[in-house]
Amino acid sequence: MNPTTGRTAALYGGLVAAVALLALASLGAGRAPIALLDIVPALWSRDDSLAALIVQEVRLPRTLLAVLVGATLGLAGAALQGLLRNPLAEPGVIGISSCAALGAVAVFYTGLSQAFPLALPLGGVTGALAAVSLLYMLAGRGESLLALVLAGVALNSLAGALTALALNLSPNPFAAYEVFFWLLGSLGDRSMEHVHLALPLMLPGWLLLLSTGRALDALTLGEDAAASLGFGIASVRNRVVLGSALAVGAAVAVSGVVGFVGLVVPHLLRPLVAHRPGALLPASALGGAVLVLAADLLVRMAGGGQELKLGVVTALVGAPFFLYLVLHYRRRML
Amino acid sequence: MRELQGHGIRVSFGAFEALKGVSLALRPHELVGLIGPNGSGKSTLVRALLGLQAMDAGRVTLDGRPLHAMDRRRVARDLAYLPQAGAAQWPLRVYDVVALGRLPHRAPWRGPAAADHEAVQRALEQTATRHLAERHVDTLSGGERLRVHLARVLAGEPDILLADEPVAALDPYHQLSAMNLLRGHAARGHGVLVVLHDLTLAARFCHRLVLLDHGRVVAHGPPATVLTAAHLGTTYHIGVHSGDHGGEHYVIPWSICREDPPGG
Repeated sequence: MNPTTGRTAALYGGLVAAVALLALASLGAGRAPIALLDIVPALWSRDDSLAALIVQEVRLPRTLLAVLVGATLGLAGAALQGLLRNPLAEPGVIGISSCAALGAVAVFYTGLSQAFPLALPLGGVTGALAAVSLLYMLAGRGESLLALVLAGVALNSLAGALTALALNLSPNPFAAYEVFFWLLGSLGDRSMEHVHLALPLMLPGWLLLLSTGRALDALTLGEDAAASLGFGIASVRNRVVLGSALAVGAAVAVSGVVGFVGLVVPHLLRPLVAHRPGALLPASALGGAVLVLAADLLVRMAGGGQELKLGVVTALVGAPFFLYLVLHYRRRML
Repeated sequence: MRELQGHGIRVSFGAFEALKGVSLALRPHELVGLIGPNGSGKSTLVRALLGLQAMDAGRVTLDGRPLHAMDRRRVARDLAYLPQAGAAQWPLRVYDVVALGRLPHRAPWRGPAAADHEAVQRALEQTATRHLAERHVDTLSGGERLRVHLARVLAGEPDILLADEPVAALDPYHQLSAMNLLRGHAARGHGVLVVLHDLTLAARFCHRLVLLDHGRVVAHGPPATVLTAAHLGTTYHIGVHSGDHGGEHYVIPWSICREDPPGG
């Protein structure tokens, strides 16, 4: 028996328990006090008591979205780091997050978001899928990972510039204000409709990403050796890019831009799975859920007059961590 | 036991013709050395034989069946590739690196079976790397790393092994030990093709040599017939000392016989 298998199983178990506990805390946190023991019954209750109403209508969507968005960002980050064999990669690198954000901004800008509420997430998903099409047009269908990263960087800057242009030319300050706050990333005021919209896109995205585990393991030996083990680089690349676009597109669409989760989580968990990229995928999905649940709890508890935005908190934690990584790798390279 | 054949392989990169119609057969029990100056097309030929290189013309067959028409996992079980001993990207444990060799044998979405574990243990045993199993690959020396990668390949129990310059960066002890392992694999009934720069090792260990120059096979056969002063003078632009030692042919590169570098 490979000794790491037991350790990895224990890690998965620990992370599942952490997700469950934080989810419970997330359902319990809020202005209306609901006893911890009443939360679980309130989830299934069919009566229209206040507790059931609050837990089911207000808190459950927020908790579920924290789990879904966190799992997506962690999983996509781990898959991209495995594909590009670079610990500094994350979904933002290939331009998917910023294109999804641009799609949503376009919806704000055209006023479609007032016409029907789901226009916003739909715009985000459309932006992410447009990003994939553009990536393939720019990077070609070939096998070069460098072309993919360069095309992603270009796409990222373009989407950022267009988003800034939309804010710049905004017809009224309120629209600009609304877009600006949405871009900061938040899970507040979401409903089960958001969950229903995101989940059907996230599930196939997750499956695509999880299916690359062995190929990413093989890729640690280099592209030719991986291909000689039966894992062609083109197929892995397609699954990671499309899977990330579907899942991250849906995540950005319902939560705005929540940065750094995809960077930090795989990096923290990698040593705990003996650096195996395949085993890191499920671990990072669970770890992402833990981090976003915790950050969202922090956001809600720290709330004074003005609620802190989730994306602000993850960036405040994530950016110094990114800097630490850069310094760490620079020292290793010297 | 399988036979790998390349027929009239042509590969070009833009206007540059890397391989100009190369044919080659690799049979069981054989250790074949692929030699030739830098840029002669050795690595491209290995990639083509693995089915990883798009070809302009020609075909590669495994027991008479075209490689490109076969299932990729099936090919991966029969045909293994040992690249130059580079570091793995992540600091994996040695056991996990060797276990990667079992990937083509594993059922989808399932963990490793007992047979996989046994094959890994056998490979660690064969390459004398069992004591390294818990180490991380980035902490190994070049010689240890090559043995670990060889164990990874052997764990897959392939019928055919293609190795691209596996001993280039090793000291003489580890070069000899690695060549012994490759010859041992051939002796167990497998076909082994190894790209070599060291002509002395090629003469000492290989049953047969294929000499490439400018994308063409200029000589092939037993080492004594390939490593002649005439062949090495025109391809490598070098003079050699050669002779027989205990019935085995040896060569030692000795002098430059033309000022312009080969392969240009």
